[in-house]
Amino acid sequence: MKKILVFLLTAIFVFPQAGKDLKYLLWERETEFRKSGASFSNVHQIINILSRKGARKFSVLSFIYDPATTGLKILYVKLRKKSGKEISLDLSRAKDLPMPAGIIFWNRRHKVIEAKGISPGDILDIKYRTWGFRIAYLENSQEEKEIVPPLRGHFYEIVYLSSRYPIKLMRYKLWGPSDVQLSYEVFNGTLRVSKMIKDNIAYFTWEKKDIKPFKYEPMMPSFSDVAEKIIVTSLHQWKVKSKWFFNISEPSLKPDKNIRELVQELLKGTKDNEKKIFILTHWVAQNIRYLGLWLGPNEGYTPNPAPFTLRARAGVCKDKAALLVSMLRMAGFPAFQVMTEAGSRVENIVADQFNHSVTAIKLNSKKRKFRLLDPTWAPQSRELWSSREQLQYYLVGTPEGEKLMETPPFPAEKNYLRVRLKGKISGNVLSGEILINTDNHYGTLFRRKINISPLSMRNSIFYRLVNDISPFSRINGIKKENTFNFSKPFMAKIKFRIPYYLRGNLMFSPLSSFPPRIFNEFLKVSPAERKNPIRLANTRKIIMEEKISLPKGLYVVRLPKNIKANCKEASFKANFWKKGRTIGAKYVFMNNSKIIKDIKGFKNVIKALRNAQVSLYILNTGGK
Amino acid sequence: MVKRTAIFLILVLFLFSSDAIVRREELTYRKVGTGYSLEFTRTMRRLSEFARTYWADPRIIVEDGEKFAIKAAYTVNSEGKKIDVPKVGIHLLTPRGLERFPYYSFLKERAINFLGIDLPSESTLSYTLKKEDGEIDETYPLAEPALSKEKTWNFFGFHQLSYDAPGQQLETTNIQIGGERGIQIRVKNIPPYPKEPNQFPSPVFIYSSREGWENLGNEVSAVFSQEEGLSKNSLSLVNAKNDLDILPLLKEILSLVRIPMKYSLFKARSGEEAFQSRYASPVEMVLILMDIYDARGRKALPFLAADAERFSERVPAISQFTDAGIYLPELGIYIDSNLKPRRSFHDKVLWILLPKPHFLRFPPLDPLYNSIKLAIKVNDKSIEGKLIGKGNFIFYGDPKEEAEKWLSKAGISAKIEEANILGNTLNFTGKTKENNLRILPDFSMLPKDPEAFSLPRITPIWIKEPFGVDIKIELETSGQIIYIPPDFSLSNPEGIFTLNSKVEGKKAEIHYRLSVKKGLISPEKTEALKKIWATARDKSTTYIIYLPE
Repeated sequence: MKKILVFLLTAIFVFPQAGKDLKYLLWERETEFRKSGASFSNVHQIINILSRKGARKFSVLSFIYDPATTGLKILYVKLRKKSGKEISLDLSRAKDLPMPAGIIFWNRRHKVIEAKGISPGDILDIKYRTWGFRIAYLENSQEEKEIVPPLRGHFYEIVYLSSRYPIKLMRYKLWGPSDVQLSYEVFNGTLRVSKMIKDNIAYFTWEKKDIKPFKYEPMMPSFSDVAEKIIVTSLHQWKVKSKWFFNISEPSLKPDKNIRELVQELLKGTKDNEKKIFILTHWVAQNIRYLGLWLGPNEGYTPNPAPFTLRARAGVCKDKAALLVSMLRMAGFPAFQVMTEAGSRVENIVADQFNHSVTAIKLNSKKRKFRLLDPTWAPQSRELWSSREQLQYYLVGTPEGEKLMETPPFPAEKNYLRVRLKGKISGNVLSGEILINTDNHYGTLFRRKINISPLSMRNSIFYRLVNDISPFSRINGIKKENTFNFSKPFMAKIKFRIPYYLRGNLMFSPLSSFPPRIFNEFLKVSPAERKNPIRLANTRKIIMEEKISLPKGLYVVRLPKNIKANCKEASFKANFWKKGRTIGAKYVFMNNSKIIKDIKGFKNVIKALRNAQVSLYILNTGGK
Repeated sequence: MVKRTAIFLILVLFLFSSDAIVRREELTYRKVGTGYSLEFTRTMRRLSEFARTYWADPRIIVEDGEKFAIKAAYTVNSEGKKIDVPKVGIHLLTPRGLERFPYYSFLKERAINFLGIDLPSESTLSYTLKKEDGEIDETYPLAEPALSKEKTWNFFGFHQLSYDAPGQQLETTNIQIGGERGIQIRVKNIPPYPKEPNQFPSPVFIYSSREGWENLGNEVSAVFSQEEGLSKNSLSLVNAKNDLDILPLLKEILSLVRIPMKYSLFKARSGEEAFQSRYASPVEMVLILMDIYDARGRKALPFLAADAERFSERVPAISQFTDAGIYLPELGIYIDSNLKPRRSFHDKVLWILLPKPHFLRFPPLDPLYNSIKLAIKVNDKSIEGKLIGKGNFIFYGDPKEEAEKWLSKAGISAKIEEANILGNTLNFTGKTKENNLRILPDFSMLPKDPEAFSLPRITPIWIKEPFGVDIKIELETSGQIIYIPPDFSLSNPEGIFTLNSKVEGKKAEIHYRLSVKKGLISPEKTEALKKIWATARDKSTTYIIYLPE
C-alpha cells in the first residue's frame, strides 16, 4: 500500500512537473538484487538546464526517502557551468530534514542540497544510491546494508520511462543471481532488452533513446496506466502474495474486550445479516477518522492492531479495514483484509501495485466469491462499497491464497440524480420549488458537502445551485432528509423566488444553468486533440426536468431547439415542449463507463451540453 | 437587563451554530534573563463533524534553539474517558511550504494528533516554550471559527509592555500569583469568526515588550542598509528595457518564501545570497529589488505593510506587518513581495523605512480610482481595441500575454497578434478563438467573490478597495444578433451600474459601467450592494448573444 505512495513522492525529484525548461541527457538506474530479495540502486541523472524556470526548479535538489524502508546516499552533485567551469557541490552541506505531513504521519524525510547560482545553459550531473524496500523492514539507519523484505527472497521493481521533459538516453540495468527466475514486462510501449549471464550473475539492460516529454492531459487515466514502464519481479503467483498478506495482517485483527462489547451493543436485537453488515461498516466509516500514525517499522504494509484503532478512533485505510474485519468476525462473518489499487490498473504481473486496503466477506468458499466493503470511502455515504471503485483490481488475503480479481461495473442508472423544477412566472418573477432525489455517487457528494461543512455553511450547496440560475435568487425554504441517516436516498426540496427573471422577450431555461456545477467534471474536457482516453469519476445518469406555468397573455413564440448527441459510452439529450400555457424541458445525461475511449463522440456530447447552457425560450413580450 | 438577555440569546444562538467551543485559552509570559518563557493551555470542545475532521491536529511553529515541552495533551471523550496523546501522536516536521527552502529549516512544526475523538469530546493541550533571547512580539488571533468562552494573557516581570486589540474590549487587572506581580488581560465570549469571502480582517490582540517604534525603526532600517549589492552576473539575468518588465523575469528566477515577518527581517540573507539560492523571503526580495533598481539608477525605498483595519500604532510590534515591498518615488509605483506593481495600498498601512521610518496611510479615493476601461471591436473572426488601466490596473511585461490575460478575465477568448503598452494603455489586435455563441464579459477582473453575496453569512461583507469598470464593446457579425439588453441604470448609496446599448442591423454596441465604494457593508446595506452586483453580473454575463452563420 505504501510503496506506490513513496515511489511517486521520491519521483518528485526524478520527474519534474511541467514545462519545456530542461532536458535529461541521461537517466540511468542500476539495480543489484540479491537472493534475499534485498536490492541496491544507483541513479545517475545528467540534466541540461534550458530556462530561468528550469534553473529555479533545480536550485534545490530534494531526495525523498522513507527511513523505515529505505536508505539514501547522495554520491555527488556536479554543476557544469555554461563557461565550462565544473563545481562539485559540498555534500557535507546537504541537510537531512523531516518532510511536512498532512494526515499521514509516517516520518518521511528528505535530503536537500542547494545548487547555488544555477542558470540557463548549465548542466547538472547527479548520482545517488538507494537501498532497502518500499515495503520492508528497515532500522532507522543510514548505513548501507542488506535489508530482508517482509516477503522474504522476493524482489520486484517498477521503473517508469516517462518524464514531462525530454530524455536523450534512458537506461535501466539490473543484475542478480542467475538462478533467481525473474518475470518482466514492458507496459504501454516497446523496449529492447538485452540479457547476459556471466559467473552465475544474470545481467539485464533496457534502453531507450530520444524519449519525448510525457504530456499530461486533463482527466486522463492515471500516470501509471498510460506511461511506459518496466515491471520486474521474482514472484510469480498472486496466491503466494495473498497468503503472505493474510499472515502479516492476522495478528492485528484479534479483537479485545472493547471490540466485543461494542459489536454486541451495536448489533443488539439485529437479526438480519445485511443490516448487521450495514451497521458495522457505517460505524467504522463514521467514527474512525482518517489519520496515519507510525506504530513501528512494519507501518505501511501491516494494519495497526484493531483494538488500538478503536481506542484511538483513528487510522488510515488498512487500519479501518482491519477494525472492520475484526468486528465482522466477532459478528460471525468470514471477513478478510484486502489489498486494492484505487485509481489505477494492476498489471497482471505479481509485483506490489497496491495503494489501498479494504475489507472482504467470503460469500462462497467453493467459488471463491467475496463481497467488498470500504470503510475509508463510506463516510457520509450510503455506499458500503463505493461505485467509484468499479472495475478495480483487488487481492484478498486468505490462508489458501487467492488470485487477482476485479470488481464489476456499476450500472449508471443506480448512480442517478433527478432534479425536478416546478415553477410559475408572475410578472417578471419566477418562483417555485426544486426537488432533488439522488443516491450513491451524487448522494455521497451532497452528504459530504453538507455533513463536513461548518454548521453555518451546511446549506451552502443549495444556495450555490439556485444562485446559478440567477444572481437574484432567493431561497424561501429548504427541506431535506437527515443527511446522517444512511438508510434512505438523499432528498432535498428547495423553495425559491427569482425577481427580474424575464429578460425582455427572452427566458433562459432555468435548469440549463445547472450544468456548470453538476456537469463541471465533463466541461473540463477541452476540445483540443488528445492521445489518452478520458477517465471520469463514475458512471451516472442525470435527469433534469422543468415545468413552468406562464401567466395569461404570455406565450411562447419559439422553443429552444431540441438537442441530442451520443457516443459509445455517453449520451445527452435536451427536449423542450409546450402545452397550453405550460412550457417545459427534460435534460438527460448518461455515461455508462468510467473510461471514455470514443473521444470524438464524447466531445460532441460535451458540445451538446455546452449548447444546452444557452437554451432560450422566446416569448411574446418585451425586449429591444 | 434587556442588554444582558440579548447577549445571552446571542450566545445561545452561537452555541447552536458553533462547530466547537474554546472553553479556555491561557497564555502566561514570564521574563527570563534576556528572553522569556510561555506557558500555554487550551481546551476545546468539538461539537460537529467539521470540527472533528479539521480541528483535531494542532500545529505549533518552533524555532531551533527554543525549548518546547508538552505538559499535557489529552482528550476526554463523550463517555468521560481520558485518552492521552501517545508519543506516536507528537511529531516534529518541516512546515508545509518550507521543504524546498533549506536555509529556513531552522523553523520546525510540532504537530499533535488528539486521539479518541468522538462527538462531543474535549481536548486539552498544555505546553511550555522558552526563548533564550528576544522580545515578545505577537499579533494573536482573538476570534477564530469556533466560539471562545474565555481567553486570558498573563505577563510577569516585563518592564515594558504595550498591547492593543483594535475595536475590542479588554479587561485588564493587576494580579499576584505566589509572590509574582503581573498584569492579566482577559476577553470573554468572543463570537465565532468563520472564514467567509470578502471579510473584514478578524480581530487580533497585539502585544509587545519592545521599547518603541523609534528603536525598532532603527533596528529594522539597518536590515535594509546593506552596502553589498547584487553581482554583475546576477544583474545580467534580470536585464530588461522597461523598469517594470524586470518583474516577470524575477518571478521566473525566484520563489517567494512565506514566513512570519520577524524571521523574514531578522534572519534575512544578503540580496546576492538569496538571489544565488533562487528563493527569497519578502525582506530578501526587497533587498534584491533595491539592488536591481539601484543598478538602474532608480531610488527604491523599502517598506513593511500591515493591514490598515487592525494596525495599532500603540504597539511597536513587527508581527503586525504581513508583507514587505519597495516604493519607487520617481515612478509613483509600489511593488510588494509578490512582485505586483501598484499605485496605492488602500487596505494597508505602510511603514516606509528609509531615509527615516514613517507611517503612510492612503486617503479614501473615488470608486473609479481603480478602474479598467475596455473598448473593443469584435466580429466573428477578429478583435481590436484597447484597455486603459487606472489606479492599480497597471500593464507590464509581454503586451500580447497581458492583452490575452485581461481579455480572458473579461470572458473573451482571443489570440492576440499585435499589442503594445503605451503608458497605462494597452492596444491590441487579434483573432477571436472560436465563433462566439455569446459574449460573456464578466467582472472577474475585479476584487470580488460572487459567493460573498450568494451565501448566508455570519460576518459582514468588506469591500477593501473601491473598484470600477467601464467596458464598451462594438460587435459586428455576419450572423444574427438575437438579443441586446435594453438601457438600464441602477444607482444606490453603495454603487452605480449603468448600461447603454444600440443595435443597427448586424452591428451592435454595448457600454456598461460599474463602480462600488470601499467599506464595511452592514447587513442593512448588503441588499443594496447585492442588487448592484447581481445586476452587473446578470446583465453583463448573459445579454449579448449572437449566432454567426
